[in-house]
Amino acid sequence: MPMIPKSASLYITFAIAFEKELLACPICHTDTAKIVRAGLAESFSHWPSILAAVSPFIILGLIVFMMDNLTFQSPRSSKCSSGERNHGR
Amino acid sequence: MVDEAVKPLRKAGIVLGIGMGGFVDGILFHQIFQIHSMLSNRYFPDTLANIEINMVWDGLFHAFTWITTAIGISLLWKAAKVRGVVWSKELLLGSMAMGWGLFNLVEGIIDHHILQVHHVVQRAEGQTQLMWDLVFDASGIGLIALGFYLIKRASQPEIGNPISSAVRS
Repeated sequence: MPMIPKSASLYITFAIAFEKELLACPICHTDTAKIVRAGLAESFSHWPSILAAVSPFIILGLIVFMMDNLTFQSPRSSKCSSGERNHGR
Repeated sequence: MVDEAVKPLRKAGIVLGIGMGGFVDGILFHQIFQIHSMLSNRYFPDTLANIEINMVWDGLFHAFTWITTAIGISLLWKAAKVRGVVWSKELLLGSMAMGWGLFNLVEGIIDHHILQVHHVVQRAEGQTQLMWDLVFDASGIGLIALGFYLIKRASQPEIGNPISSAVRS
């Protein structure tokens, strides 16, 4: 009987105990792929998921666009930029 | 106009901050600590199938943050070519902090509170889960305040401040 490497046997034990889908069996592996495909198809037809991925970036883009027209300066500093400060020197 | 000289770097910094803030979330929370994934509230990552579904959505999220960062770099490149633009480290860091804070706040409100596709600490329950979501929102507000302070300080046309010493001609 061939010896199973210790790491491989540990992996199989772990897989059986905690995650039956991780079993190194071609049939189970196929099933997992089917579950993933079905889950992905479902997730892409679920509008809050699409909105969650896209909308923060759209809203942030709009905020950046609006902020571009905002001024961060106080009226005093705007006055300075018009040259009044240089006159006072 | 002083504000016109500040705008190019400020805009680039904010967009870069949004992108890099997104990467902090994605790399630190989704991948290294694995405390949440993009759709972990809907597909709890306790099976291989759910982990794979979340991985695809995390990839989409990273794609958007990559695009945002690329736009930020292009804006920074453009800013570097504008004559008379303020070239200050404080202004860039302040803008990036503001972008990061905006990302945390907007993403937190939409994804954690309104759509609830995931929470900051997915395995936490009830009040603890809400508390971590609120801590994330608060970090956003804190970063926006820090960014606002740094931008305002860098934009003051006082002697010795970056505005008067770092204008590119």
